[in-house]
Amino acid sequence: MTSTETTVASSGSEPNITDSSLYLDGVPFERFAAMRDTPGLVWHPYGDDGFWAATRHEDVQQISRDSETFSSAIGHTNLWDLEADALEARRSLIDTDAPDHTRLRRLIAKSFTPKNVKRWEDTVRAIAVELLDDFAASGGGDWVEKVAAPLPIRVILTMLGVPVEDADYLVELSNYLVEGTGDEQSIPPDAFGNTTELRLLPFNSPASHALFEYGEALAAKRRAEPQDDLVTMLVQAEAEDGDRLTGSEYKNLFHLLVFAGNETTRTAISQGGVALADNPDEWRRIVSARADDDEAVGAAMIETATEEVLRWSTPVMHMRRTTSVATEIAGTQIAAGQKVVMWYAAANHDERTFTDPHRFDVGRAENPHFAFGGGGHHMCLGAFLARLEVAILLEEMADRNLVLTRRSEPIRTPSNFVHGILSVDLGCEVSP
Amino acid sequence: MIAENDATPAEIADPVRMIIDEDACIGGGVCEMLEEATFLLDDDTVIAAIVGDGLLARERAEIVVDRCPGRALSFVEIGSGLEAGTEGRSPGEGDED
Repeated sequence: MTSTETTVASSGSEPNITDSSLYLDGVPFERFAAMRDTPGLVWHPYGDDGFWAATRHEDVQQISRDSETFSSAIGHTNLWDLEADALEARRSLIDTDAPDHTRLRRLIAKSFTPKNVKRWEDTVRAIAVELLDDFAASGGGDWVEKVAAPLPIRVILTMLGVPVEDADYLVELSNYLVEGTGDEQSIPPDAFGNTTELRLLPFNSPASHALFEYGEALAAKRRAEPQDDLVTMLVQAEAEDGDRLTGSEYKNLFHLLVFAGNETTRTAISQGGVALADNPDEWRRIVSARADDDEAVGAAMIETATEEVLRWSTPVMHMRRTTSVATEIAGTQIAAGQKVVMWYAAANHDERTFTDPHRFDVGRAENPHFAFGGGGHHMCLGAFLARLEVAILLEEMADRNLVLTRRSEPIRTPSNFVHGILSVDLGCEVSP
Repeated sequence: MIAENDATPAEIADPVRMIIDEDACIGGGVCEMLEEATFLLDDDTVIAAIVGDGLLARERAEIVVDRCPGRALSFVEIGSGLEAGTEGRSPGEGDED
């Protein structure tokens, strides 16, 4: 499509917000601020065409909540389109509209409700304590490798019912998947015995083939011998009308749970650790609230600090929708079949919504962030699990009086999608 | 754990009665997180249900309605003749906009 009466981004010297290498220096906040100040949505060239970029909190929310107009099932939920057969082969909960979405989501939502997530509190705490004690004993190290990565992957694998001895293998696969969100992959297309065309695999990664195979083998074991775990629940899942997950739905869901349960919370903890090291006064606020005689003071602080870590980290920086009908957002006319991209990373720093948005404020009272999306049907399934993991980590760090310090610049993930940190060296001392 | 909702209209400032649209509920659990004394997701269906009398202060009700990912919550005025719960929701009544 050609747009005539619109503001066009990245003409001339403006940074191109889709350029993955741009994010090696961090989120382009100045560019996003300029886009937020531009009336309407901003047309952004991409490939042979382009997309409408929504950067204000209000606009992202409006788009996110209207899943009929702004479809997840058309095209793809990433910037690039997929061919029809690839989209079908890769389709998961994320790329589905109602009523399919509602049916799929209800099949697994049970395991992720606030009440049911709390059942995992002891498991999460035990893993967090072990990782933190090791990290403190060695005086710090690579925060991502030692704490941020292992905590969420170990939690989700425990929930899924993956045997402990296989955890390293799935972490390895998961790391290859992350590569698939960038520009280069370190493994050949036929790695892990893959014979499927890469375009038919999530993240175009042969590791997806291996993860599918692993998930299917585990499902077969659980059908034969049910356990009290998520995979058993999935293979037994049956909706009210007797509907079950298809083979393709199951393996894509297993894949989604391993990847999403791993990468996103890893990012929240990675970015959170850096933020706490960079803002020692904010960390002291958490420690002193937690030490207050009134337990409610500490609990309230952990709650607001967790939400602020989530806002600050914004692990997924955008999601795309495609218009099913012609519509209008913020005065911009949008034809049917166009891409609309919700930039959560921009909306989470919108000065119209957040007081002093570039300040890391662990006591922030009003914090309607979009770390789990902008609301509506596709709200992050694992939101309460992610909150639990971040909250427990903060509690255990505060109770141990650990102080993080920055010893290196973070090495960031070259991705316009995942706000990741590959590694960062943090010091860790026990404060007297 | 089900928290007991023993509040009466007299104890809640400006109370309203919550209504759930079962078909729209996606089991997101935001209501249970925000108001655990009033909402609980059913263990089998994962659809939200009301615990107790379903009364909330208007200010809180507006927040829960706003945050519900399935747009499945609304509220009615007390004494409107509609009972709390999943039935009796008539179009236009209790809708926010």
